[in-house]
Amino acid sequence: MGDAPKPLNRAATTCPPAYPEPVLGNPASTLMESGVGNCYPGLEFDLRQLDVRFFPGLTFEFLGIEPSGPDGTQGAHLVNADVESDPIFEEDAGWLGTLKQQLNGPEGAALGDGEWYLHWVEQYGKRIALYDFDVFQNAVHMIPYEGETCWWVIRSIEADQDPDTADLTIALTRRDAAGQPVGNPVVLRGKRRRYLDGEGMIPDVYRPGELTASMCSPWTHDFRDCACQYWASNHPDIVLGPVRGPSLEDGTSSDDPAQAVTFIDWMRRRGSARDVSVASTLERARAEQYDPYEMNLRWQELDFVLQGEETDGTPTTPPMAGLRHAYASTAEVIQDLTEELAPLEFTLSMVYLYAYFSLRAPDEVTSDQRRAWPDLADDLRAARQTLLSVALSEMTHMRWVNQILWTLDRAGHYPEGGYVPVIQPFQPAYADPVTGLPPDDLEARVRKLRPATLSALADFVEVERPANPLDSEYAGLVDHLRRNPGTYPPGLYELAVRIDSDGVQHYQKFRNIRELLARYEAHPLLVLRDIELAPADDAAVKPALGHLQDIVGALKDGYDAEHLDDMPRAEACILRSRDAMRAFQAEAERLARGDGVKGLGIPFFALWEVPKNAT
Amino acid sequence: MIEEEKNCASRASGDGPCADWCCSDPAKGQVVGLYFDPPMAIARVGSAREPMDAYRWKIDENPHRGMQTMIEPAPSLHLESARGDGHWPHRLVIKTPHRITFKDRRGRVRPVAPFFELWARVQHPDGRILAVPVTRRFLEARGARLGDLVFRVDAGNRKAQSRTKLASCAAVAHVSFPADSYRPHRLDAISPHTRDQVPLVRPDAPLPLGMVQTFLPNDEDWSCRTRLDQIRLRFTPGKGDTFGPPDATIATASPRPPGDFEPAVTEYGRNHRMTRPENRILSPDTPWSGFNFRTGGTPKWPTPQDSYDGAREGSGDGWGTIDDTCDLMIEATLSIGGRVLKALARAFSGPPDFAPDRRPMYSIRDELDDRELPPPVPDLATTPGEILDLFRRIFETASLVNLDQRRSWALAGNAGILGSTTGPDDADWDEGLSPRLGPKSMRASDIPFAEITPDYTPGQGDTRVSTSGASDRLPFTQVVQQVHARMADSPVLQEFLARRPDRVRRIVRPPFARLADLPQRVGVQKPAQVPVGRWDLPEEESGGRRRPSDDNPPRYRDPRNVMDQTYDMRMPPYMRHSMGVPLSITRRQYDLLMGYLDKLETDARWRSNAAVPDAEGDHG
Repeated sequence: MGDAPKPLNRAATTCPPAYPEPVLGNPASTLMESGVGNCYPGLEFDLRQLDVRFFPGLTFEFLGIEPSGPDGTQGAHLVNADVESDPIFEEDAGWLGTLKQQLNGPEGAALGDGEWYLHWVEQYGKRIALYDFDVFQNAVHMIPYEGETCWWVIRSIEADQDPDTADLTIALTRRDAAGQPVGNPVVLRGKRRRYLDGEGMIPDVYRPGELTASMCSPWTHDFRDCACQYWASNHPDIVLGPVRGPSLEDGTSSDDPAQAVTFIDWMRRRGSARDVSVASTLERARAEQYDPYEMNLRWQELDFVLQGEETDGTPTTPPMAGLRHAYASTAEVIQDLTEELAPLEFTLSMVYLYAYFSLRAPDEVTSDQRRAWPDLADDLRAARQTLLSVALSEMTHMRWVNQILWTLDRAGHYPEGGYVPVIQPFQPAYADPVTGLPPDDLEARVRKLRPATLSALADFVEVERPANPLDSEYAGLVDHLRRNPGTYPPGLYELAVRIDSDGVQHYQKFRNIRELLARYEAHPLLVLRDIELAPADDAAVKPALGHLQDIVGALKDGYDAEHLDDMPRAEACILRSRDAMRAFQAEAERLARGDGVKGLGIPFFALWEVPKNAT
Repeated sequence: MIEEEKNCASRASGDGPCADWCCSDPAKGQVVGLYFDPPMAIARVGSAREPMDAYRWKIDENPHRGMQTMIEPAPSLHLESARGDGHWPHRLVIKTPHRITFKDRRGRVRPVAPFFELWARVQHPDGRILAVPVTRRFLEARGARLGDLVFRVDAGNRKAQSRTKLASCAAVAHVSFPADSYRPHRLDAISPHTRDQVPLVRPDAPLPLGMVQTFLPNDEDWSCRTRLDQIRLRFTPGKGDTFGPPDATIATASPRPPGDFEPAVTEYGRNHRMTRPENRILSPDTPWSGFNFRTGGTPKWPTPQDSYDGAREGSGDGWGTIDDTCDLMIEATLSIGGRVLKALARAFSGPPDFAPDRRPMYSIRDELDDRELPPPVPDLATTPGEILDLFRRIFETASLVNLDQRRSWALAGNAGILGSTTGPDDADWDEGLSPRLGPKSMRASDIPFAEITPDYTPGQGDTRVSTSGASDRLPFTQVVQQVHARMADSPVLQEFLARRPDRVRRIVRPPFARLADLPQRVGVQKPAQVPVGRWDLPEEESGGRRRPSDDNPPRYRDPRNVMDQTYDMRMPPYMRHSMGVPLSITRRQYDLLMGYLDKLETDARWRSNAAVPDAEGDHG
């Protein structure tokens, strides 16, 4: 319903990125933006067919290799030379007239006799031959490139923007029985064809059926059997299964801890293999997938996928986060980010890292244990990778909180003093003034460094649970940014949303880890290392604490550099912190393994503890 | 004031400005051209009776899902029988569904059946050219009738023809009808043939490629931006069925994985019906039945050649099957005042888009832009948005890719291409190569390419096949999802690109070169230098700090160079182009990204202004 056609080749004119809009009544899947551009089996059409007619008046085919090996017929082979059937010659350009004369004259007559192959192409002074070469006893032997290589060379010819200049020269030759070019070449000057006309359509020289001619027959053949996998946006490899029952605000299952974290094979045979988690090789995946031929009649069983999950349609009412606590002012936002959210992220990352180091590595599983518990090594590997990914994610969140802070400072929102990097844990929970004991509520427990016991994991689940008071901190920030349009620099809303949405994923991951490790509830030492938290002054943990200090120092320097827009220094600092993290990780692993003695857990927060003799 | 102008004036206070054509007198001006909008559209097969409703892409506003693309229902055009009995003629009415469903109650996929709007370019006495919907009244104002507007639709499925090189194996349909012929016009295709040829598709058993239809004008319901009496043509594609000769009944499937061939043994995998009985209508005695790409002398184009049912079992003889997909051209011809005006459009019928809220990072549009547009010039007003959109699409594609499977497959292929004598699983068969091409690819020793993936995958060794069990799920895939979800956010992306431009230059796989950048001969002439810093602001103006690069990553690949056909972890990692070589983003996307890096590195204005405003514009 636009006022003008929507030519495909319009330059981008919108910022922020606007989605292309189909005409009234059409779904977005009718748009060229919805089709995979690259390009062959089973899809909408084969863009390589454009190059078959790259030169006005000529039609080529890009012949591959015979089953018996190269026989000299491979390459860009001329199918025909015909002026009359090419509407481009109705256009008004001097070079077209000259080319028409050539093709209607001796050059065209020569091309009509025998088999001709493209020998070389030349544009902007660069001549590229469609032959490789070798030398035998000082004689040069020409070896025709096979068709696909020739196609790539043709594809690399540019669309010259001056319609009146013939910028492209090509030469065709015949070949002898051994594939060597022979005789005089036919040399033609012209231009590479434009593949879109003024209305945004592929020109009508391409006849109906021509642009899909090279595709699979039937389309289902390669839709199942192609090994390319470049088309996941239309033909997914992996998906999450459908949600059965209630869902969380992110659309994943509320009841099933595995649904949100288990990739299943989209191409699996429906009915017999409903919940098969996907394999890591094509060979292993094959048995549970639809067969060739079977696909021809059963392809409509494949599920549609939205936001990575199989579904029958769009959600009826997209779940929206409810309103959370509101901030009264920007100063309050800054105070909360500085005093609550940044320390929260750092504390959680340390707590989760401690739990990570408390888990045995798969290579610590003895052969006897492997026999008795066949899944143990896999479960440990999964739990460790997942736990580590959440810990690193919390570190990233701390960085983003700092990024929000320095962005606010650069935009003039800081009340006074300016941005100072915030990398520190919460203070320990205050002791109950009556009992003198620290509280035993969730907020206090998740500040403590604990091994990954089931009770610790249960607390991790709770702290990440959507709508938990800690989780809702970010929902409040999101709400505040949403309610104050134009007040803050661009991008802050995205950062807040990202942290908020990650929280739901953390919840799902922890639920899954807890479920995995619950099978070993009666045998905790199968999954946990025998470690104890080292005292802050233990000499054995000094190197590790030194690495941690290096990490924190490098991150502070890096954040400060980014705040000051000094990107080279920021990059150097981030790389320095990453090196320190690797050293820290190696040392923490060494201490936790114990090597025959009781393992040590690192008292991460010792760096921030006030010495007992300090006033 | 004429009736339409009154209507326009009364509606202009609606929810948005009126279209330019709204208040103009339809009788005024000279018609200088006709066109269809859209000029090209994709139809998608399905056997449900009701086509897919309209939907559009938008940013999900739910903060618990993250900033990502979703689809939402859009105003859809439904058919309303003028007779009230469901029969044609139909007029179009607008309905907005409360949700999009992809299948009907019987599990049949709803086809995507695009509409094409017919527009005229009208020149006014002041020289302005206005786009105006073509309606019955528009025609009548110019002394023409609906019947003077003639549609011609030509559809073809030439898949068998392209292999046998015989037109008698094509399936083509032609229909021609005036704009006031409202019945569905079936695109029943047959094979062109001469007296001595056997047609693959016989005239008495045509191949149903779909149908086209026009609609009664709906004069009652239109806004100042939309006219339901505008002439529209709709293409409804075929069902996606397979057709074959009578012997294409049951076949034994290869149990091998995709891309592999079954050795010639006497027993294969499971048996399956390959066609419905009613679809065994093709002639059995044509060269398409039994076509075999392995036979010497058969044409070796198109490639890959094993792309038909039957190619991967036994001797490779084809079963002679084709489908009901096609591509077609629509032509509208109108005679006004002795002039003949024409409009053309194309449609393609393809498979469903099974993940409609996930967009390709390399779309048909990108490919056409890459072929047609001049090299991009970074523009502060548009480039940050384009690059953000690219990274959002990268995430959308990456979120559905099995990277573990890709990696194991690609690394095995490398060992085959380069002739590893110790097999693909020897951790050091690629010693000395960088990027690594064997089991150490994307592992700690794949420096300087691998950085965080080894850190995120602590349980993985230097193996080609990742360790992934029922609970330990696709370690590499998990990492790519986690990393790219962040890169879809404007401030994270912009900060990363500004801080680590050299990392991005190194880690993104370059596309194949432009012809003029290729060395004349591989390994003889030096490749053309494509310098970093092409888009730098002069240092005296920007105070820019170009960081010296410790290497000079290649800016393009050469299709003639075998090393440029091996798979490594550069982005997109291990993915394959449909032409059987490692995939890259397009040259145009790559050049724009590189230009953006230059700007971010050396121009403070770009760093401070490059964060893209939040998509909905109302979030602060």
